Amino acid sequence: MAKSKKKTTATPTPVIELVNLTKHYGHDDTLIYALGGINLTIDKGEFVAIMGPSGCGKTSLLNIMGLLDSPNDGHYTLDGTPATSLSAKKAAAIRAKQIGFVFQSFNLLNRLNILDNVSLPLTYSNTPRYKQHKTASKLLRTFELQEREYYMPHQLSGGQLQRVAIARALVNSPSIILADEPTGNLDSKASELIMSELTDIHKRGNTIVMVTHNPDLTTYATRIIRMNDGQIESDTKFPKKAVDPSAKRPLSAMIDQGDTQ
Amino acid sequence: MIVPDYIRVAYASLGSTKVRTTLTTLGIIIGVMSITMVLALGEGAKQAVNQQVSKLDEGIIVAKPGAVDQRAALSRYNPFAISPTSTLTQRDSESIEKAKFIDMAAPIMFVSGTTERKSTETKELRSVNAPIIATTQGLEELLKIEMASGEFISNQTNRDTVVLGNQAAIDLIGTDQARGQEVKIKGRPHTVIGVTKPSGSPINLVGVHLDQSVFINLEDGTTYNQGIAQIQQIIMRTDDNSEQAAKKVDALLLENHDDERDFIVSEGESVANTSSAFYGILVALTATVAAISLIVGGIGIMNIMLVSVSERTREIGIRKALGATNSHVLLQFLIESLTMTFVGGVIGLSLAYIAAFFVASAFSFLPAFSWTIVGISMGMAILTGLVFGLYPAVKAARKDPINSLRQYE
Repeated sequence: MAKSKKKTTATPTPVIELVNLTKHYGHDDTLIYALGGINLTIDKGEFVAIMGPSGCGKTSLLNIMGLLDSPNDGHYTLDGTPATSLSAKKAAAIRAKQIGFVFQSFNLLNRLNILDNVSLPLTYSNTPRYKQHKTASKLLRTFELQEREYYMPHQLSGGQLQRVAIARALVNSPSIILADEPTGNLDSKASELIMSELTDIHKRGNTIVMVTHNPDLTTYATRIIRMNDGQIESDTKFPKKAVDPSAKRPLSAMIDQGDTQ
Repeated sequence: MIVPDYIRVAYASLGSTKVRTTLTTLGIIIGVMSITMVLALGEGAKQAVNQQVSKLDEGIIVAKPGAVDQRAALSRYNPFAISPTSTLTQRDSESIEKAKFIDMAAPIMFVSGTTERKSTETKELRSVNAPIIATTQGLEELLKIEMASGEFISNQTNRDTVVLGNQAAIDLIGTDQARGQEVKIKGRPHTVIGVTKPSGSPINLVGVHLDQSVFINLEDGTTYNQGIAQIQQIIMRTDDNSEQAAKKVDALLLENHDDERDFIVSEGESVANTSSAFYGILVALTATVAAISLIVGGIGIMNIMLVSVSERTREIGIRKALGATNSHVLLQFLIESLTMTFVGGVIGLSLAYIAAFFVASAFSFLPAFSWTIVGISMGMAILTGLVFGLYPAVKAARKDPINSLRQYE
């Protein structure tokens, strides 16, 4: 299995496969379609940015991909296993092992220190505590946060918090990382740092799906999906662009100057 | 996630709201404390009765009026509450005394009334409402009453003499060296011929505090009751096998009573049963009241846990997004309430024994320590945590992760 994956890097394996995915809310007269039949395949190693105005269904899509919500119709296959209508327990087990979440508001637990926050997904996958901390500590080192291990979240800056959150998303070595507006609460400098972290993670072979409003962030992505009214409007792939690190540097510098927040 | 993880999480979350946690746990502490105190004191009193009985000689048999009914124990315990016409008669007492298998016997008749004494120097009138026990000489030996001064009533002493319990002597005369003093029992003067030594315990098989009692001759007692002896107890001793002797006494009394079983003959351990049963009922009643305070504590737990669940909705959402199942969340919150009740239970139990020790020492017995009491108290505490923590925990577990993550923190 592992060998075949390595050989087939040229023709990547799909991590996410969505077939005619539908999600609606309300009943009868008030029926609103959040997703009106989405067909989408995301391959291993892609960095997908999902764009679109508010209410276009991108968050619903992300929630379904993250198994926090289930579709009304259609099929969802995650890393080769059908994940359309799972029991809450199975969905939770998959979330603990195969999915990494990065939220706009970091969503760290204030009462836990950084190390415990990062190891949190591992506590739900029956990993021994010393192993949890070992893995978490290793990851924090790559994010240059090893000195902050025993800090509490309120002692860190926004950018640091989001790096902790990214470390947390990576700690269970997930099949896919789902990021919902990861820089939405950060200033431009921190945003740039976070995006370069995400790019770095992507370059190490992780699959990332990012939902964002900010068109500038899409420059980091290898694929841009634009959504509107629960439908995919456009789907563009830039396979080489993000792999080339020199291409993004001047762009990020521009974001830095343009954004005064 | 394993249990130590949950306990660590519970400790961290409870620790972050210290005042709230302390106050909630205090409710449990008070509840457990009251239950434990009631049980420990009740059991201690029971043991004191049994000790008193076991201090007496082998072969003690007691006959009391009334039918064999444990439920009536409460009313039977109080000698003054017994129907004015006791079913035991002087004839019963006499036939027992005559019986060959009985070594020694003494009837007890309670006379109600006040005992007064006018001081010869100050002319001050003191009166006590002491139990007046009309009996015979045998009681001294049967109950192992020791004399501080003088002698106990006997066949040789006349009906104008009285023996005072130690405390009764101090209350009336001011000293236990009261021989020769004059007291008035129900208005009639008696000469004090002896004072007992303090027994130190209010609990015994007779059911009244002997130190506070006044002893007169049975014959004297009957004069206060139109010459009829109303015998509330016959205490006897046998040299034979007490079980068999008790059966013989039973048969003897049954014959006297024309085959009507309106009396109880008990021996050995069961001599103390009446008073034990009394304490048992008393303890059960008080423990029920004490249990209510634990329920109140439990409601406190539920209240605080509900607040905690709604405050931590976002945390629940985060945990669920990161892979926590419903049962993970359920256990997390349940273990939090269980931690409070367990810690509250341990503290309550310890405080209860400290408090019970002081309370009991005022009544000159010790609170009983037993694993049953510890088990009952801790069991009740943990049960409270389980029962009152379940609903908030279920509520937490059922929260939808998406909506929970939206909650502003």
